[in-house]
Amino acid sequence: MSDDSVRLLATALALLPLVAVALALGRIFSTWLEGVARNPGAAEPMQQVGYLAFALTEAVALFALIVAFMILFVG
Amino acid sequence: MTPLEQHLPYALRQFATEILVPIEVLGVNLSFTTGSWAKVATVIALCVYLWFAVRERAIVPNRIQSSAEWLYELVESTVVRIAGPQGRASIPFVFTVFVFVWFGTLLGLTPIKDTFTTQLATTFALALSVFVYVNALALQRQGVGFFRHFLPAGTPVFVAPVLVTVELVSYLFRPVTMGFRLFANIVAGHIMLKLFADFCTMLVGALGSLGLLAAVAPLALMAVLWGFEILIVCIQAYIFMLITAMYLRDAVRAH
Repeated sequence: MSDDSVRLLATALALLPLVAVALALGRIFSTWLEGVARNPGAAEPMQQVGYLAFALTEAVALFALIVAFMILFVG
Repeated sequence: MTPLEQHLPYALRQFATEILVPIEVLGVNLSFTTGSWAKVATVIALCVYLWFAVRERAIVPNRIQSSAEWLYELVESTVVRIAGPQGRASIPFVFTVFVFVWFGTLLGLTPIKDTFTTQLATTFALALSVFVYVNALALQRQGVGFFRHFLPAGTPVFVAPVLVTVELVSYLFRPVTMGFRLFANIVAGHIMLKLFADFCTMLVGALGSLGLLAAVAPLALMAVLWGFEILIVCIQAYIFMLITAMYLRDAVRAH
């Protein structure tokens, strides 16, 4: 394989965490929704935790993106 | 165009800063760039807005005053709920960081050159200033006892070195992840918008007037994504404040 094709493959591999992140985000929002539906009174405190969990999980995907960019363009 | 810019793909070139006023002090490049201009513009916009908002100090607030009050109460309630009443003294700091990040990034969604949160140097500096502030506060409130947090009570002696190392490393990495999170989110959003915008111009360039018709769909999608991006900016600024408040909790609350 040429250097370029190895690099592209490595970039694709670096984006594999997206699978887990997608599953995790789906789970976060489904449980969040379920929690709010079961207890609408607790919607506001749940919001804070929900957004935090969303952002922390999404950050994993974005770190993967950064790594992918580094493999593609740096060095 | 610099050699670095030529090396970058088109969607990433939007992040290159331009030097407006070259300044060099003792061989260090301190030039006033488009990013610096965006920061100055953010601060000016903020000052004007807040000045107008609190000018009247009416008991029955008008629209602009109630918007500023809402903004302040959001920060206040978050800090007090997370860090407790001991965190009240830090509200001005958290408020400053929050509105700076929020307004600056929102300003970046307008055609103004350089969203400063897409510069890792800026987000990292913001996160680092939060880190320094929180540590200074912790040392002031708790003294040397603050370092006890790295070794929870009741830890077996033979685990202690490993535990302290792990805790210390994860603690020192806080500003890095905090800066990276904001940076990566905003950069990803801007790349996505740029890709759709490029696709529209490519369609028009390749197909002419037929492309103009074909470009309607990606343009509409881009408008939707732009709205989504506003939501992301709000959430990310809120998250930045939330995490600052969480670090404050560790600083002001004795465990």
